[in-house]
Amino acid sequence: MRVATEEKPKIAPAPPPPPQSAKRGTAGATPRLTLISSYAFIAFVALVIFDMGLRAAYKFVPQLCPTTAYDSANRSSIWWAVKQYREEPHAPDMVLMGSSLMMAALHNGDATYMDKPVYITSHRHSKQFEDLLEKKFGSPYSTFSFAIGGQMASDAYVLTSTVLSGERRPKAIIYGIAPRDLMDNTLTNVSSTETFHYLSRIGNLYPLAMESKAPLWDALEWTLDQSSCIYGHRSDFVLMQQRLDKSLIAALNKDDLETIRTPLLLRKLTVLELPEDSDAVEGMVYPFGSSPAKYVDNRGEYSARYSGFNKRLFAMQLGFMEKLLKQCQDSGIKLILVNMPLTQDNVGVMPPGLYPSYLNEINRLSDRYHAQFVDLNEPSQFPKTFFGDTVHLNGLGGKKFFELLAERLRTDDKLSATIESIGH
Amino acid sequence: MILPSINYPLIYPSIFLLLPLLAVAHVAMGYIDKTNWVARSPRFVKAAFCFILMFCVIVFSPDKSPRFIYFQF
Repeated sequence: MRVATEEKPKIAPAPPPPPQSAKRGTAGATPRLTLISSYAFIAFVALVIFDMGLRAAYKFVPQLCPTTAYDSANRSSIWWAVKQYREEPHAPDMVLMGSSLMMAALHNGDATYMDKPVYITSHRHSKQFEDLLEKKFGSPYSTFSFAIGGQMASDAYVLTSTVLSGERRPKAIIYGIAPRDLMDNTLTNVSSTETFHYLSRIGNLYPLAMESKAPLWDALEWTLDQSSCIYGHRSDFVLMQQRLDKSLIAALNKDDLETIRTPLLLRKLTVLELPEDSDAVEGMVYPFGSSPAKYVDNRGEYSARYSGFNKRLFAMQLGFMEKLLKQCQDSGIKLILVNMPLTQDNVGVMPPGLYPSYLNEINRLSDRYHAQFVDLNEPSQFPKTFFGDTVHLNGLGGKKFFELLAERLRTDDKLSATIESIGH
Repeated sequence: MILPSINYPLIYPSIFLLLPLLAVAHVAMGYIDKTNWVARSPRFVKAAFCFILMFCVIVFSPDKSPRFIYFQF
């Protein structure tokens, strides 16, 4: 750091140092003055003032800010889902939630039911399920899917408490669950998911992040997010930079920058760098039979997810499941938990005790909060030929899943009453 | 000007902006370094430069916090 010494008068020799007693009282003033007058210090103070000004602007005049809480520089699955949900004319009767197990059932099932390909990112309404419900209950029901790959119980809770509330509150949630949603050893902490990060823009998830015992560096980052407005809004600045980039590139090229047009090999590389960033028309699912059915044995991947029964993680995720059930009960949302079909191959790689503990706890919580539980993990109904791998249903399986679910909703008295109560 | 058909992720078309910008910055920084421009400039200019630098480091440094990536490739 350079100090400002240029302005010192260049006259005559410096006077002799005063006696020690005379210096008392002013000792240390020079270094302090030097620090205060340094340009780095001035820049730091300016940064703090700018940070405070930015916080005030976001709080008092948000309409003047170029970004909103819903904007993101990263077009992740949750960003697309929230965007499309907000574009719906009104809140749907039912929201489908769950991980890729529910996504596979919905996309593969609907593609086969409609006999046409569907886009993974933009296909949000279960056409087959809506048709089945209308046929069985005699009135139309609207659905919207918030199923997102890797969704944990903690994600489902933060989603419900931030987006599925107020005017956009659905009448019912059908939540397809499986043991992985409560115990995945590849999850370092609950606040590390894209869903949690994105939704922390919409609701204050700082207490939850701290509650979930995030590792030290993550906890520091969350704290910095809260204490510095610039740091907390850095994704807004990245978004502004992206918008500027786009306008400059578009001026050069006049091309549509919102549509994917990238060589496949290059795209595969970028997926490794930005795995949560995708376009609306990127992933497509084809009807069953349009290409040779291929079963992928992914027990290796699930062995890593299930490696050892992590009881701490399981208990923490159960805690979030309980929060979700309570949230639904308090806000009048009917919650139906559906145990998703799995192959015996997959159940076979689970650590001892996980599956029975999962079933017991889900049943206990359902009873306690008056939610309803439908167990569709029936190997007799879902043979291996209905799966694309050890957990994800293929087109035949997806179609069968919604047929069986609609059937149970109609034939079970309590479930039937719930569905009728949310009808038009 | 016709760019190759790579328009997403944004970093690829941005290359055509970044490369000229880097070339210009290279020349400009060489000049600044040679003329000792930063050291000779007034304190408020140095402070402004420092402010922009700190801001850019906070905002644009890559987020390396561990993220949960569900899909395995």
